[in-house]
Amino acid sequence: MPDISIRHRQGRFTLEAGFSVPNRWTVLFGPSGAGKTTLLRVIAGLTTPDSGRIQLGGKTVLDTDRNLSVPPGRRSIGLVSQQPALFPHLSVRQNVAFGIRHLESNRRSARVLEMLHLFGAESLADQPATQLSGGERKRVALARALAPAPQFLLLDEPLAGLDDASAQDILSRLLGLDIRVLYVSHDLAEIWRMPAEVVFLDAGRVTAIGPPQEVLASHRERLLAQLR
Amino acid sequence: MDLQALWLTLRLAVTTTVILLVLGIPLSYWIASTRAPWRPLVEAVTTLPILLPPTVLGFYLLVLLGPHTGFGRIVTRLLGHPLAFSFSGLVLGSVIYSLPFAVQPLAAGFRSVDTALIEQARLLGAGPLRTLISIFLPLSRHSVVAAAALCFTHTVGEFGVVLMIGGDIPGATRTLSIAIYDQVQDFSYTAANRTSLVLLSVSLIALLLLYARRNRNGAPSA
Amino acid sequence: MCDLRLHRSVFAACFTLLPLLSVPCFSQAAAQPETSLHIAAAADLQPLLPPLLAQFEAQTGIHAEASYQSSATLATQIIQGAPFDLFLAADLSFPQRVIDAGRAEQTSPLPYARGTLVLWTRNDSGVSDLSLDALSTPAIKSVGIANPEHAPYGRAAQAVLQHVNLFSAVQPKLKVAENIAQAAQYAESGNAQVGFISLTSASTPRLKADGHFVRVPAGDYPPILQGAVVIRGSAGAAAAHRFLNFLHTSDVEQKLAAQGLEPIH
Repeated sequence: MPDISIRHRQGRFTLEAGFSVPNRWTVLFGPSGAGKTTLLRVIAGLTTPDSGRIQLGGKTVLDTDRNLSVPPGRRSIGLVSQQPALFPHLSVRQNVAFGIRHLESNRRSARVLEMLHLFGAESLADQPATQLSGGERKRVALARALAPAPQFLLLDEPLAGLDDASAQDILSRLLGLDIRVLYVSHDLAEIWRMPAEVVFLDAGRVTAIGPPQEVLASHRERLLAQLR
Repeated sequence: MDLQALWLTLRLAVTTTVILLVLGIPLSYWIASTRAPWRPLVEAVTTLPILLPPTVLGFYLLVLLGPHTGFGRIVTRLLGHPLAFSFSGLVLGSVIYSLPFAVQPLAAGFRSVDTALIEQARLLGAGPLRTLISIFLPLSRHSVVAAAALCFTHTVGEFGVVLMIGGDIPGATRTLSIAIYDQVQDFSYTAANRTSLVLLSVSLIALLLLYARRNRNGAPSA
Repeated sequence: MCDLRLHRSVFAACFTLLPLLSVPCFSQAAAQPETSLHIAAAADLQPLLPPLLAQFEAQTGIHAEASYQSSATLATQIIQGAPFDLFLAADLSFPQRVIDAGRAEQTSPLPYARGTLVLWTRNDSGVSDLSLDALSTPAIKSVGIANPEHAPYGRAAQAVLQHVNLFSAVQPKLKVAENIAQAAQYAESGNAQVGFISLTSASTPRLKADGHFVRVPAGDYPPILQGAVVIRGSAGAAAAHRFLNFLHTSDVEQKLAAQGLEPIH
């Protein structure tokens, strides 16, 4: 039984996807408009699909048949979108601390610094969120998402728009994490480095699941058409 | 005589503004974030007071609170005196009359907050109350200020509702605007000019205080 | 960033202010003697009632306050429970409504004076011929009138125009005011070139200085009998009766007559 099985219509676009996330990393790959972001939002609980069932880490977080939908805050999920959405009126420290308010003050500060350190952003701790560069924002957003120690990290093209050096650095750090990652990408080059199972999404449907080489080989035509 | 009217007007304006912020913030929050199918109805109803002529609004309130309706009789028995023709009656009238001036800017301000921020707040475990206090309010500060300013000045200038439901009782319901009206009716133009100046100054000072504070806190955040 | 703290302190301040503001201590502390008589007075009484109230207080020690609005509005408010003790209207129909609603002591209104309708214009209005006939001429462009639908003086003015068959000719020029005091204002400010106003208004120092008037022949309109009722069960009902008696003393009647309100005998 796949971990994720949903069906959702948005206007004339239908998303119908079913797959499992057994590996540490799963890459959701496909051309733009394939429905990757929508799928991510459904998994995060930000969009409720017309029908479906989602199990994460053995726990059912969505079952439309039983009218069950666990709120996003309780799915143990961190999400970092292409636009990092840092809280502009708060400092970096306050942003990262947002999801761990339940921790006692000292432990909270320690955790904030630990997370910032994980992504090389400790020096930014007291800066207002609005004064950061693109790369810095991504780092802080990642630190914020991971602070509550979620079980899953959903990343929507997190390296898009970054310079090579920052992208490499952040990716290395991500790869060093011990957490299940669902990584959305439409960039061929970056997914080779990932120890991932690739789920190929095209026009709302899963057309292949497997290691990168296999999936990409079977979709050569499609990919070449994209590059043209 | 002016002092009484001035104090009464200030009390009325401040009380109304505070009540409208306390009521308006949760209401506007609900309007801006709900997907309930009856949201448009609530929005329409809260906008209605703008459409009714103030004297008409005052009249219907008067009837509602009067001895001929069950509601009015119950309220009178609870209070020991009719709600109309008292300060509390004025407050009720003012709150209804200025409700749209609180809800509109507040709801617009809340709506302008980036949805992505709200979603991140949800993902990070914030409930509706925390999202309201930690995200919505700080990011729509200027809307709260605008709502406060509008409600305050709207109440200071209120006339038709106050006259109808207040009865122009000196010290109790004769506000500045009614005092001016009386003075003009009396051809006491000097007194009327003086009272008008007081009324305008009050509004101007209040607005300056509110807007200067906004400036000091820096430009409204992105 | 102290945003959260700022909001908390703002809310806290407001909540502590709120109960303070509901206490009307300030205004009561002002040296204002307690009002024992609340009068709902028609708009046309505004020019002449205040000195009479002062005289009444000097004679009886009873402090009276009056609220001046149109008789129609006052009647509505009284029917809805307004805490007035005495209703001095500008006609008989509005006190009758109060009686019909069961809010009056009397079974029929007590006429206390008779109003007079005049045609008034500013001295500098350029109107050389101030008369009823002149109203239909192009020289006169605007005529102020109290609302004929519910203001007694307005009804009288409309009756006059109909009586002399000038209503349709003059109707396009009518500037309708909410009550008779406002009609006087239209005329006094020049917004209406001439105005049908009460003799009471015309007798005020200001209007005497600024303009002149002619009386409308009494036969042209039904008499404007101004009636009063005492509000049933009100706190100052006894004081109200005393005031009514006061109004009928010859000294006061003379004063009223001098300002356009003829006594009724």
